Amino acid sequence: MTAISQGPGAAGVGRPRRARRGAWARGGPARGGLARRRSLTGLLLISPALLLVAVFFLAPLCLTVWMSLHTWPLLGSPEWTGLDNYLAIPGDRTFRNALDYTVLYTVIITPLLLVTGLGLAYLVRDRRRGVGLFRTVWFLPYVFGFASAAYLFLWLFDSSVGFVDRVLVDLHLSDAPVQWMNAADSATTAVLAMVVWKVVGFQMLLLMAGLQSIPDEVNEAALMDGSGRWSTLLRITLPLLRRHIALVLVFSVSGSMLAFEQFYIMTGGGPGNETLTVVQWIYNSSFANFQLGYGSALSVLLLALLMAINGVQLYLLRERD
Amino acid sequence: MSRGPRRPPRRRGIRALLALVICAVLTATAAGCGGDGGRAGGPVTLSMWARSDQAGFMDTVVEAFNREHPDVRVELTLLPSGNYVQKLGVAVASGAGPDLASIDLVYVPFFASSGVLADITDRAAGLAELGRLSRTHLDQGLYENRRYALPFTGDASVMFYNKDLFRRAGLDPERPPGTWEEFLDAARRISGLGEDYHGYHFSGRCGGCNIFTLAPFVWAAGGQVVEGEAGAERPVVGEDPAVAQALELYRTMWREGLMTPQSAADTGAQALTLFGGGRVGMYATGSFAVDEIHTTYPDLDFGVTPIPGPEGGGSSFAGGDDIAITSDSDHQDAAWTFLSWAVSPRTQQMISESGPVPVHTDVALGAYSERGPEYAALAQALVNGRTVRSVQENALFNAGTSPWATMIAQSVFGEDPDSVAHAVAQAQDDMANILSRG
Repeated sequence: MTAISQGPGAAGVGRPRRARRGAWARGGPARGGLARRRSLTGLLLISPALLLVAVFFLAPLCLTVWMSLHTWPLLGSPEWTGLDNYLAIPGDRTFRNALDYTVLYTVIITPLLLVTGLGLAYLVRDRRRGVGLFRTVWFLPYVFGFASAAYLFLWLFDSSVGFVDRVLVDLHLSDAPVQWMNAADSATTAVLAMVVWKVVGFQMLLLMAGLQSIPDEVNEAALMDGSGRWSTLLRITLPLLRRHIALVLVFSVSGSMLAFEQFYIMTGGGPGNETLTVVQWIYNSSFANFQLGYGSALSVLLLALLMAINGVQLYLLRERD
Repeated sequence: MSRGPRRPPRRRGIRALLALVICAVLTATAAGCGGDGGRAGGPVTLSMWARSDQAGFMDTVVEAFNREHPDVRVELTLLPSGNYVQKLGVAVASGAGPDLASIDLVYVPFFASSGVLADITDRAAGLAELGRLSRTHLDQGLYENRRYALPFTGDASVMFYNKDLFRRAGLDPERPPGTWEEFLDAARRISGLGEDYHGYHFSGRCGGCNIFTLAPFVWAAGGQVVEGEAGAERPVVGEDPAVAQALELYRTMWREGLMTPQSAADTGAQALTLFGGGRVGMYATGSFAVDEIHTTYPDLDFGVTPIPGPEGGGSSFAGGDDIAITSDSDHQDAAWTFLSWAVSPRTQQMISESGPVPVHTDVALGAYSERGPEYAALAQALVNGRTVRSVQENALFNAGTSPWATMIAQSVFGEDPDSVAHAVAQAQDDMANILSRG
């Protein structure tokens, strides 16, 4: 799923898309045979990649769609049921709650990551003494697996042996250890802390590259024209960062809508189902209730939803001029 | 899952591929998807899976079997109780399951209907014990008139009551409540003993506890929660008036303050401690609590009685485990040796000494009942008990957030006077929705 959602974003950042399409069109019909041979060679060269996409993306996708049209128990034989699984989705209260929660989580985490990432990017933009250390320190958590990071934070937020509660109690900020995972709000807070810690370094890196690509002349010109810090940020920097911001947003929205490990490990969806995400519910439907067909139908729906969201994002952040 | 009859599948290719993928997905938590041992020479080795909460007696049972059978060796693997069914399902789907599996009887219809358990109809027909084994356990192993599992261990839900508190509240400790009216009256009197005293406790956030302890109230009132055969079942929680009546009974107790405040949040972990503390008059639970109370709270004077019906009578959830051979096992004969040995009176006697109620009725009503009145009550409850037959038992009832669990929490603790009516209607829809998909 992330493969396709990242596709257009990545392409958009590399180089203005229109220019590339223009070059392709010019080279096409004009040169006849040579061009055809060239495009054949090209096709041949990317065929391993195409094969990989076919085997690891298209085939599973087709299988998922096929399964979603069946009652497909983990054990026993599948049975064609047409659109029954899709028709059951609107009446599935757990799914609706999970979708609400996942959207809420996305709406909170995305700006949080963007603002924190941009702030850090400002701090480490210029070559200064020691800046490499900070870049590394902030980026390092990104290379952890989500699962290991989740276990680390599960321990940090543990009410009996954890570090966070110990500090809160010792500083008299809290009378008793907070049972972080016993309420939806505090459990979500713990997960948010983990995700920001883990992912923000990557966002910082992308935005830092964006900031560095803005020529100094632009900032100097703005300064000469009497633009203040805030108006430079709002009117010069952010518009010029548009493509980088689009990439960061697509990454964090897709990642958050597909959130799984952090919740699976830290909250288990609890208390009750209050922190259950959509992917967790797909997992539970498939492997706890053994309703693989229904899990597939939910996956297809989620894919469509993500494509729509990413489409809207890219449309809104497109180059207008 | 799917409804209507179907034959065991032979779609090895896709299933194996799928199982491989699932194995990969689950490796982080799984006990692994190993192959089964089919070594030549020496004794036949059988792999057997059971849950970690059966640890108390499984080791003894397997040791005794291995001692008596030099030609067969059972190797026991205990898996975490929480996701046992999930792991067993994944393993058998990939053909990497054990030869023998102990399965909570509520999940047996699901496994029996999916063709992964060996058909033991003919072997079982020759078993002298068959007619004397627990009826509910036997019925759970039947699918389309073929038998796929035998009874293994028993449990039954009964009402525990504190005799001291009964005495202090002016109630006869030898005459426990037999109707809902008497039940309410006893709860009111015990709650009247003081601010810290409560007539009743139940685990309000536990689907599994309540299918075990609240469903018998429904059954004793002549109702049921699902109807029809497993695989073609239909929920009736929103249609059967007995469900709403039982919920209203609980709601009344909650609103009058007869229940412990902990009832609203208990996921099942607090119940025994609260009852053991000596300030809770009654609570419904299973056989494990008898030994647990005897050891942990030796001074507690308690009695055990059936879960009452509105006008008398009583009911019980007959739970426990069935034992089955997987259809992929290469050692059907050896595995059958274990099954037939497991249901024998001698083995059942041995198992019952570690806690479970014997599934052999001669043992249950004989030696087991002679250990004391509380044991006799449990044996009687097992014999008269019922269970839930559904291939989606977990999703409908046992899961912490099942429609059943949600319905109970909303009915009992809801503020709205129509809470019960709303909750049962919603649960009816949600259960139908779960059964409509696959």
